[in-house]
Amino acid sequence: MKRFQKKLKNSSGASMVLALIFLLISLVLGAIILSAASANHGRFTHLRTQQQDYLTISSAAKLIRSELQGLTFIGAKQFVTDSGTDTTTSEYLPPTISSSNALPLLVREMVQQMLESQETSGHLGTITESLTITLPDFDDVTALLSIDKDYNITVSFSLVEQRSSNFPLTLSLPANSERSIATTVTSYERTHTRTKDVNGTTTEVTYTVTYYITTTTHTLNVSWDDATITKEGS
Amino acid sequence: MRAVYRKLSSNHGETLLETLLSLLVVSLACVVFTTMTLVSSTINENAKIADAKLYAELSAAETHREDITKTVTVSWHWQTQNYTQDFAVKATGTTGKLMNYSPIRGED
Repeated sequence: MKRFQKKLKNSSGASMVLALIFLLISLVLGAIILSAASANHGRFTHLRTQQQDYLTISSAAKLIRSELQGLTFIGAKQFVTDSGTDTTTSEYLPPTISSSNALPLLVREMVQQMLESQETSGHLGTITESLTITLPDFDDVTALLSIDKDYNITVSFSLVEQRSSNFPLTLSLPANSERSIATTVTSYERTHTRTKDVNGTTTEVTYTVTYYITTTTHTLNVSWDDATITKEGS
Repeated sequence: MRAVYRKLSSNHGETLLETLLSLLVVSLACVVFTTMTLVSSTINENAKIADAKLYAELSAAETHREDITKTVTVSWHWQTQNYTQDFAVKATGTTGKLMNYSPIRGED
């Protein structure tokens, strides 16, 4: 250090060294400025890809939202008790949904499957189905459609081709579910003939018995109205 | 390197050749630095143009200019069968640039 200070005070024979130091500083500063500018320019190529990925995924999410929002599902199970035969039978009535398009019909099948599996095996997990959304000039999008035990629908969107600039979005459709029970009773009559001993004489007695058919319908009504699209993790 | 050390420990004056070489090195440093600054400036200008172009494309994609009707296909496999549903959509933007689409029924 002392030697360097001495050299600084010495004005002779150092111009070459100073020129080289100046060259070095110029090169370092120039390189810093150049790399900063290059990085700034390179950002745009990346930004364009990111922006297109976001537009592709958000468009797919809006499309699926427009198809699923406002749907209403009605599922029912009917129990029929016949006092005449003393039997009770049960069956699921065909479920309905408020659209005849293929995607709502998939939702109908998934909800019905969830409903039946909850009653038969107490299944409380989720049912998931993978959709692929394709459109020329756009990258393919994968949508993972899930229905949970409360019939809430969640659709997670991401590009089929995984990239660092992937923008996963989630479409949430909370379910408004309502259960109701309706009972109807109908009756039918049946005539029976029996022999009876009346004052020592065997007499045929005809009598009519009224039997009741009790039909109990357990109905599940689910609607999905308030859809929200959120970025994953937010 | 040895020459530099020798120079550092020497108290002798400069030769004409050394002075000229020093001037040459300083000039070279100036030229290199100026060139690098100019190139950086050009790159930044290009970046500025690219930025404006990107936002113009984004604006076109989001403000429904140059609408084209296209068909989106949603496909899935459910219980051993393949299903598809087609949706008519309005694609906005220009092919090869930023593009967006929205369902024809009008939800946004």
